Amino acid sequence: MNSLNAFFDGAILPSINQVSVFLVAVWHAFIANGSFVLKSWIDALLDFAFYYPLFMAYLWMIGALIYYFHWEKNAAYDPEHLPELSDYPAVSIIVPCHNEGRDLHDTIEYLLLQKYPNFEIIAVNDGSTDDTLEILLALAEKNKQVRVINLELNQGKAIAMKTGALFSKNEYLVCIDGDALLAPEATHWIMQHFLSGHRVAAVTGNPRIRTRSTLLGKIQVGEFSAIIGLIKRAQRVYGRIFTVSGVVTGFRKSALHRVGYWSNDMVTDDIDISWKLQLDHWDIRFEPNALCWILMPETLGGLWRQRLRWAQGGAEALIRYYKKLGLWKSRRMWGVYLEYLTSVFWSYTMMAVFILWSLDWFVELPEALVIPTLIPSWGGVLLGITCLVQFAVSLIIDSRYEKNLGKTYYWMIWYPVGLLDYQCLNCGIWFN
Amino acid sequence: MKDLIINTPSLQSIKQKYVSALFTFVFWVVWIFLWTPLVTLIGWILGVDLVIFQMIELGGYQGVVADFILFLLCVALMGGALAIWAGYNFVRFRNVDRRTPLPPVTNSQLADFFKVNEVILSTQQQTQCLSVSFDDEGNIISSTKIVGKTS
Repeated sequence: MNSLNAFFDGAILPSINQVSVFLVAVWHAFIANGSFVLKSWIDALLDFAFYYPLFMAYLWMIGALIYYFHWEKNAAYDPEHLPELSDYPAVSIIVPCHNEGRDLHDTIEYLLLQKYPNFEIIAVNDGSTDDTLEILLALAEKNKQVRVINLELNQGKAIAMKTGALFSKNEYLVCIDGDALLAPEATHWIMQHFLSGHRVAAVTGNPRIRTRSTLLGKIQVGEFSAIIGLIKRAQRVYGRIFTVSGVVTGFRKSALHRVGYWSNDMVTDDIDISWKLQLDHWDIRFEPNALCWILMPETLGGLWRQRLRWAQGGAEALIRYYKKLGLWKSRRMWGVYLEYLTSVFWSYTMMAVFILWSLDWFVELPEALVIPTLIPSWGGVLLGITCLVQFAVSLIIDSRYEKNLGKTYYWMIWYPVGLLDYQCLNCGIWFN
Repeated sequence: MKDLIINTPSLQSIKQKYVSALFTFVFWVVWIFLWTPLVTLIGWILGVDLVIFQMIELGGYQGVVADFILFLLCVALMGGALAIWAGYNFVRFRNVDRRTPLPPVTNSQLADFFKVNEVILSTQQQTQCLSVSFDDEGNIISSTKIVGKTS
């Protein structure tokens, strides 16, 4: 025991000491010389962290307003007054279900109210452990329009939808979530796009939030309007979208067939299929009149898990498709790819800024790394005004789809907080 | 029974309406001037004179305005670029269809892709309730019809 102690004191400790002295010397030299360069980098990053969301907000707003004035403002039709279609080809509404026992009955009963004259419902039970299958079989007995496909073991949403597509003899599919209530006119609105353009491979609908009891629910209402609604419209004006809303999307089977349907190994199938289709030069449209009422998590835990999955899906898409995007023929997707990449980089920048700012309270940071304040000056006023304007614009655009949307305006003040947390999730997924 | 109160302002001429509105406005302004001492006091408490001194007389507003103009320019540039891009695409591709329409997917194509039997597939597509089993790679092995309670 004694010799071990002696060895430790005589050899190991001095070595550790020498190495530490060396490292500290290197650190001081770095700080002295690199301080200036570091400071200008940090300043540039701070500016980026502040200005990027500010300018993107205006870009989304302008894009959304262009979309609104072109397609929505003077439209003769609204969600309840349907246009007449030239034809009514048969549609299969695919509903993948996994342990949806609680809401499934409502979903299917509501689906039966679709005003479209020629459709069937294919409910795919994905190895549920609750009474989903029993509910579905009972519904199928009462309604011949309801077909049930039972996957004996849980295979995942992608395989469930592929199986639904395989066992459907129709060319047009509308895929919704197992707990979503599809508005009766939605199929009409979706089919209008497929009939109007050969190149249309998918049509994403307009999800509306049903769960509004808690603060989190109310925040998400605004989020879907103010952020997602604006972004979808602006991306349509640009010409390519980042993702369809997996909760309500119509697909053309021949397009799906060409790109190999949904991928089994991606965490979010909707981002993946959108990229596959658009990289194959298909068109994906947004139809704000195709309403779908959905349930969103109202607990922090549930919300965190959902947003983590979304962030992971985005990252997977970035990684999987970066090679294909280097080709000239994929040039129209560059805008969408770059924007998402920049937003992920922004998340990391914000996280770094916050960490440095917090560290300053506990540790003596070198002068170059000190963040003077998290509160900007006149820029802050601009940011505040931008928030208000963005929410107002989104509510004005979206109010035709939902009465009394203005009441949620008061809760919108929480959104920037949520946005910050959500963006930090983008960082978190890499550690997952 | 005639209404006791006659309230039909629309019967006035435009000139009458505007002249009376103008006089009303002027007298409201005069009335507000009566409050000048109180307004001044509140202004001193809130620091309005300091604001005027710092921002206007010392020129503090110039920096803010310059920044704001730069900001507006950037937003206009970005928005303008998007609008021009959208306009270009609209003009170029509006009624141009550069792809021939694809025919609907046939059962033989589906059978090829999913590695199932085409004949069985047709039956499966007509069956109302099916139970399907898969192998480890996600390929369909077999399917059985689910028989209902009453049939």
